[in-house]
Amino acid sequence: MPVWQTFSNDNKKNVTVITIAMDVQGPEKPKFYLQKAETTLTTLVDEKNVMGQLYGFKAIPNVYLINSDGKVEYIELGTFNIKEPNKRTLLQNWSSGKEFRSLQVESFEQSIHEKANSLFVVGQQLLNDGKPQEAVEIWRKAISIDPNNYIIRKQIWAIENPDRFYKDKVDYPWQDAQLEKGL
Amino acid sequence: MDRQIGYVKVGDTAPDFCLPSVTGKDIHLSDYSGDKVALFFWASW
Repeated sequence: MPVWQTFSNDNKKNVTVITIAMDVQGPEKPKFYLQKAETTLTTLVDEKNVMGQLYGFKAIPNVYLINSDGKVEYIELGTFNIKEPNKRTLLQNWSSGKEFRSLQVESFEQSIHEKANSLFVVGQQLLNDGKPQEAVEIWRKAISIDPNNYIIRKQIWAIENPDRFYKDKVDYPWQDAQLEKGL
Repeated sequence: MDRQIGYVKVGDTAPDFCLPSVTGKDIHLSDYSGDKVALFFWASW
């Protein structure tokens, strides 16, 4: 929050920063935080997830940059961190009207990826412990979260159908058929 | 899948809303029309 405060101070001629605390417990929690951080930013409290429903997001921290015509120019969902230098540059360029590439970052996709990967690691451990069935169960959960993760999907195939992978050569037509069946 | 999140897309007009500020004032996005606005969503938890 202090970094947002600095950005706001440096750019107050160009940009209004509004922070929205998605605190279901009411304004006291964010208020306490803001006092500690000594910020004067306009901060709203969304106790009922009104904004999540209106704008359509399921994760924070998020940023929406809106131009003077009221149009959205940039969206980043789930991971925006103003402390990252490239994000600071992006905000600075946007503020000063410099070359700014309108962009929608689907970083939610990233968090899906991470979730699936952490399940993958759990499954790997189970497999090492000689529990392939349990590993497969965890991995099925992982690909239900992240269906495009073929690393995990193929691990399941390889365990359940070793002869398609470890005999002679890898059976790619079989893999295509599996995909068509949605497996 | 979860990819359909984000009803608001780049290029859309940002939907107006009204929320109370921590100081108890009702704020509309439209109060700032004509300004560049950065909305930052966070939580204290």
